[in-house]
Amino acid sequence: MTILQISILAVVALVLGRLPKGRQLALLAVSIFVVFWLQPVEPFAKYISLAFWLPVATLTITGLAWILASAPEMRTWKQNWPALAILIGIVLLMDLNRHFKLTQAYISTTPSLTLTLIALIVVVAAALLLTQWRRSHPIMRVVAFITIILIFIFLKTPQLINNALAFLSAAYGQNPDTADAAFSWLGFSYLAFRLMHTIRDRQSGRLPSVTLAEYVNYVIFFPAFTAGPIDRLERFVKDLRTPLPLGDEDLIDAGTRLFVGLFKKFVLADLLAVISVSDMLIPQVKGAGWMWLFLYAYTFQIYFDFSGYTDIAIGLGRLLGVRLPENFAAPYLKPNLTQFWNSWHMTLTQWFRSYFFNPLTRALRSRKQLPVWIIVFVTQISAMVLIGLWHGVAAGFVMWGLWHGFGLFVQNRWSEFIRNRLPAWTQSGRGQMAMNAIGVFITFNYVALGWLFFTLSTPAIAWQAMLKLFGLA
Amino acid sequence: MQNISPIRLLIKVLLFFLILNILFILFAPYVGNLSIYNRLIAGRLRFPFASGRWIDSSMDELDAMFDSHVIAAGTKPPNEFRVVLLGDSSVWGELLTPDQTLSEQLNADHILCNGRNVRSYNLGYPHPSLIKDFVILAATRKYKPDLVIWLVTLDTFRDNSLNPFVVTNQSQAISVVNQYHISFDTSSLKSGASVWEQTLMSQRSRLARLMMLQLYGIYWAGVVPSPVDPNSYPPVANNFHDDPTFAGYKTGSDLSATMFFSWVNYIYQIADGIPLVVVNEPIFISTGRNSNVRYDSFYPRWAYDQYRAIMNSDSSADRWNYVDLWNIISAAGFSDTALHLSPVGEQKLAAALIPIIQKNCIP
Repeated sequence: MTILQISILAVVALVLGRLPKGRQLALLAVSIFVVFWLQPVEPFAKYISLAFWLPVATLTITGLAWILASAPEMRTWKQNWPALAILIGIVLLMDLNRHFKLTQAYISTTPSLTLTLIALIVVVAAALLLTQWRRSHPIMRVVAFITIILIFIFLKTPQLINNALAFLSAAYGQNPDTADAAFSWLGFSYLAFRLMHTIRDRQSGRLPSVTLAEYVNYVIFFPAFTAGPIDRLERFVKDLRTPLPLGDEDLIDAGTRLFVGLFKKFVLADLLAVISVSDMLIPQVKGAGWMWLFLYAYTFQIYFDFSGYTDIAIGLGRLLGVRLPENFAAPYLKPNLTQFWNSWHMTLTQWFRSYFFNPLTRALRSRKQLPVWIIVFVTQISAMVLIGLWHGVAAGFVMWGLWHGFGLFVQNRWSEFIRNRLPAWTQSGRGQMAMNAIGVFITFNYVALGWLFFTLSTPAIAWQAMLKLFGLA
Repeated sequence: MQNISPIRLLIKVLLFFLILNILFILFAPYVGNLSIYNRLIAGRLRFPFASGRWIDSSMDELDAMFDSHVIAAGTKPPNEFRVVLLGDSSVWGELLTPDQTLSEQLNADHILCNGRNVRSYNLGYPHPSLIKDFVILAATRKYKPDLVIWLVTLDTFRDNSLNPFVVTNQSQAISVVNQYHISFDTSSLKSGASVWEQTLMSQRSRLARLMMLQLYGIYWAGVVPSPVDPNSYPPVANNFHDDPTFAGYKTGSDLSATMFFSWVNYIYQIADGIPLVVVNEPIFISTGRNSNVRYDSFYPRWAYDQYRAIMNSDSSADRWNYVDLWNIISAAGFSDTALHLSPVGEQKLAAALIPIIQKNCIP
């Protein structure tokens, strides 16, 4: 998002947050519009308007997921027709944009109205069938879960994306080599987590009943749509139904949060990007000292960038009367890796803990013959590799996951080993401070080294950088 | 917590913002001089320029350019014979690392001038403009050069009044034009900024570029730039269409009627007694298709031959210290265009300039 887009959204949020009536539907309309607005224009805009169809797909998947995740009593026509009308109305309005030619604000090459109407009829028919065919819902939830994961794998695998683009290039008579490979389905990474959370919790009967408007608002809530945080439906709906009061102090808090976020993202992160470690930089760096400087620059750049976006999202959310969960809590000041992961991208970590780590740990513990260290090893490594793969299906992200998984395992075993062996001086005030400082130093540098696998294009380049850092290359 | 009125807060914020802008207007003239170059990190061997090949700041503000340059590092040592090189992208060193450029090739030869060490400084800046070169030379004088070498080509003498450098440095351009009575229309330029233009709001993009310039300094201080792979760009074209026109001029046109060759006199005035050599820089001489019509993609033969004749004749008439090195570099010495030299080409040009420097070595 640009500063201008954020500023416009802040004004919109301020107005929406003060609406005495119709707030939910107005928020829904704005969020749907934002899904279209922020979707980048893709390389095939001339032939097939993915910038139109991808947001439509986002809304379709969300609508169908609501049918699977909601209680039957919430699916009445009376409760949901306004939300449905807004959904369909805005899609049609966006489709008509080719007549308005608002190219600065939105794509102009949208498909024909007939094609859009046919697509809408198909989607509505599928939704009606799904609503009627209740007995299939348990199996459909599993199918939906797997489908989301498959789409996710496709979107996060560069080779698959490139093949798809090459196919589209050939289909439209373009040279595959010259086709712009930039392609993204905006917001899908976070959308997937929210959908999987609701479908899974519906299966286990823990999900509150919500209307279509509430559900879509939760999934595509515009402040958190592109970069999180990943809220939980039950918590989000409470704020949506009874918005937090927007008093003077709340307004100031929200404004401060927005300002801090903008400063972190557009001043600190963007400036640090100039001297951040990169593929091009590695072979040219003069020595280990400079290499550490460039690595630390990246370490802070990624923090300011990501936490800046989170601050902006929380500030915008607060203007709308919704208190989004925190995502960062001074992660680089934590004395061990476990605490780091409890304060870095916290909502993602919590998601994985709830839907992967804890169930897997329980499953392994039920096999009593397995020793604890094996359970810890398997769960830590697999959870962190999955978090790595969430960023992209690439060797670097796997290595990054392994780096952290291994670090967490070693830290876990070391804590167990050292628990009753620590000398007495470490229990004193100064001793604890010293131990804490050492822990922060080691954790920060371990995390910083891990970013090499994350940001550099291949593990080989990351290894070369690692050697340079220690004066070995 | 004390209850705060947002209206009162807004008024306070606006008031604070107003005061900040007023303070900024007072200190704005000095902002361009805030630099970590030559203090925390070494100055640059050439002016910052984002050429597309190198990631860099696109800073073309004169003060900031000089402050980031190694020429601004401390006072001139007494045993230094200071040579400054002026010109366009060929002097700046397109596709060359800073240590491969002409100035560093000269420095690598460690020549002496009456016992003083000859030290060359690259003050070239891409895109031809006479006013740009005048402004840079005027600003260079305070760094006490002993010799100025100005590398020119036919393109240097076209009307380039809308050069981005001139637009950025409007007040300096006007000052030079007025001081030396240069017949250049400055009506589209402004000598000073309005109050609004001096505010923090208006200057924010300049501030961002200044900060970027400092950070790029850290970047460049920490790397040894890899030489550009010659296979990564198309070589200089050897075959052309048979178009004989040059910048809208048809065959046989009188270039001296509308081009600015006589402006060489101004640069001597600006140099104000500092020895100055005008060098016609080497061009690529094609041997391919239609090479009987054109020397290269820039110049048809008739235009370039006429230009050389004019320069030779004017230099005699006006007593310019003029050297024509147009054909001293073979095809292998060029990189991507007919004016950009490869490292080997720069080496040859440096070798040709050494006797010229020694000849102009005045104690």
